[in-house]
Amino acid sequence: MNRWRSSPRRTVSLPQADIPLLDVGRLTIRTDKTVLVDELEFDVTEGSMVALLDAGRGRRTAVLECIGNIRPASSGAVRVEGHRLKRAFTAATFWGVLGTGLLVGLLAAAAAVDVDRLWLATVKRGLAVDEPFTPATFGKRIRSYFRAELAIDRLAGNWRIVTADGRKVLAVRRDLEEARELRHQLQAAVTARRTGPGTIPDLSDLVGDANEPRRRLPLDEATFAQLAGGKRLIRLRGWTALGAGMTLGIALALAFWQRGRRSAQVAARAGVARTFRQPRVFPEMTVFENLLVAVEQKRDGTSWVQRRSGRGGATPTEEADAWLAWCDLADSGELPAGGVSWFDRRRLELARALAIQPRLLLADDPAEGLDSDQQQAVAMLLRDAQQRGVAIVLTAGATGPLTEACDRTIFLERQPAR
Amino acid sequence: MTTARTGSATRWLRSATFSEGLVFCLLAVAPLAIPGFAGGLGGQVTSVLILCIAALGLNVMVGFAGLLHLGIAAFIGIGGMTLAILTVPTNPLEIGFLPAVVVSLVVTTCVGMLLGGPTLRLRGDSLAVVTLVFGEVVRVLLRNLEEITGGMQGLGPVPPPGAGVVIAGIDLGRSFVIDSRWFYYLALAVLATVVALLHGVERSPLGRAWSAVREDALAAATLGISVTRVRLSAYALAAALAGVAGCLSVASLGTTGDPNVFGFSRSVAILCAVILGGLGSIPGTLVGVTILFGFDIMVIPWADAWLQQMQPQAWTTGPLTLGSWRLALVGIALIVMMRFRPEGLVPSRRLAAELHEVHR
Repeated sequence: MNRWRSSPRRTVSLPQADIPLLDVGRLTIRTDKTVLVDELEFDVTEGSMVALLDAGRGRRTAVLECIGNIRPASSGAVRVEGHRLKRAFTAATFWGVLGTGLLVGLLAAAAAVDVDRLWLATVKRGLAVDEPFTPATFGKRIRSYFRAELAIDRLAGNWRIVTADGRKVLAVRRDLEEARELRHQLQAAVTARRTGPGTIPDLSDLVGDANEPRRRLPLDEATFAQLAGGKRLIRLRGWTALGAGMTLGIALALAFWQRGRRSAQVAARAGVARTFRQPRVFPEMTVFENLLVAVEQKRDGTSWVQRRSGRGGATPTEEADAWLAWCDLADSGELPAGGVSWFDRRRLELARALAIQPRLLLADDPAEGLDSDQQQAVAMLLRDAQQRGVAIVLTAGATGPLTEACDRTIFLERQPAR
Repeated sequence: MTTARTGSATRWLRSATFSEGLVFCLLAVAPLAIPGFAGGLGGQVTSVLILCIAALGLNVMVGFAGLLHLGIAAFIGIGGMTLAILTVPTNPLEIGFLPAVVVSLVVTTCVGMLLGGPTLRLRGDSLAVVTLVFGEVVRVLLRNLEEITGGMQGLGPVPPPGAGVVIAGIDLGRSFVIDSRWFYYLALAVLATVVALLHGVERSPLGRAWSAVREDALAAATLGISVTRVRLSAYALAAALAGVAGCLSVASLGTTGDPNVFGFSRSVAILCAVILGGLGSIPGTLVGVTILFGFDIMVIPWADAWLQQMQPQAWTTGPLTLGSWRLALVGIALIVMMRFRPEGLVPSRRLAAELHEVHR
């Protein structure tokens, strides 16, 4: 997926003494009924390991979810390297929103001006009078449609003078020249009516069916007024629909963007990885593929082709193999991840989170469901990750081998000052 | 690592790639051995091949990305209709077959992404309903925009590929019309390309990202996978493949026909074929379509003709036919199938593993 253009991101950031890696300021999380966390404040420096200790499971998880952009905080701020984990409004966003708006607007306008009739007027009507189809004639016919000019149509060898949308027939002639002349006169009358109060010219002898002289086609006051008003109507409909559609499209696109602005993906791209209390491996993929898919998300500026061929360092396969060995699962690489033991899934999830090369790892209850030997093993893995420069925030319900491995313990309930 | 990636000769012989290659080779030589291919049989097999392409597109959505799509036939319709609009002599555009196919691909891909954009957050039932309604809207639009699409009659005659091109004394366009083997080979070549492409995509980072998002979208997002892009790409690819199928289908029939065939029943039939063969499995999809549509298009007419011959002339009632029972037969077969082999005839490794775990 590195073939896709990735948004420019800081790949190298110098650790600054005064800005902690993670800064949680006055974080408050409320549910409908209770206040889960009230004005929590702590910070985590580069490469340190911190335990969040609390008896309430929901509370611990909520804090991590807020940091990892999975749930919104009621108030307060979470900053990673001094930045909030939000997608910025870039030029691409602007053009995307504008483009969506324009597209929706055009679709609405097409529906409002009756795209079917527009097609008839611009593409098909030219064929009837043997006019070549060129951009010039096409443009002329589009203009003519939006001016609601009378047009000449053909049916069963007769030439019919019709309204621009072809719905109303005003006269039928057997000869094309005669029809053109009549259309010209009728159009002149309609245009005169548009520009001034003008009266109906006495065209009643002209309007009719040449095949059946006794059949008079209508050109009464109502029809005439309708013809004269056609131009205003079609333009009003078109512009209104375009405007309304564009407004709606832009609003929807903005709302959509706003909702996706804070997402787990944005946090991950900013270097925040996480694991879950119940290990969320991809159950139907193999253990190896679980790692591979994570390795492939790493963005270091090399293209997919380069990495595939190994020119940008280790290939993804080699890298995933290395992670597989790291979490001591080399023997079960080809097993579906849903089928391995809880402990293995826990280790796999840890390796997978670290494979995207995060700067901060949020581990939600990594000790859950493990015996003390296994907890020791996970603590070893976490310490190793810490030595690689990853800061770790883990949660726990009680002290144990994992919390002992941490540099610092924060009790959520007491909420000590920094 | 383990055997799966090192591979061995026997492993390769058993692999899907090998068996698919073998089947494609057999299909390529079949017209030389079977004389009926120049006529009706060739046309029937061609329609099955074309439906295979559309079903592979649906498989990308439903099988790979896990998005239930009930409107795939709409994209066949849009693709075919775009081709027809751009090539029929009753329209002044007539831009020729290949450019029209390219435009039609672009159009179907864009429409696919347009459908995808607002529905990205929907899953399961709600997405199914949205795609179903979308399919019906497209069908009704195709029917009612009479000036553009020709309404119930459809647009025609659509010129065959290479109309007017003469190479070495062979008029390509004419050959496509009089000998159905030409379209057969065209469809076979496109299908083989699509199969190879999908195998590649399945093993690419994109394919793995599809799996990851399908299995656990939140976990995938925490790895930095853009769920939006991954799902949109599935929409786009599915729509494009259905568009190709639409182009081929319209070109081989020479007309778009009644747009009602691009409706819900066709979408569901293709979905049934994909499920019958095995969701997420490329060879499975091919087998499913061959069985379901091969039965409908080829076996039923043949069996009816045979039954009619076998019946004594003395029977005064109308001849006994299977044709009117064919949907019931397909339905019963599907019910039996879902009961005893829910993962499909040629299941994908993952789905088989999942379902067998449940059974254990």
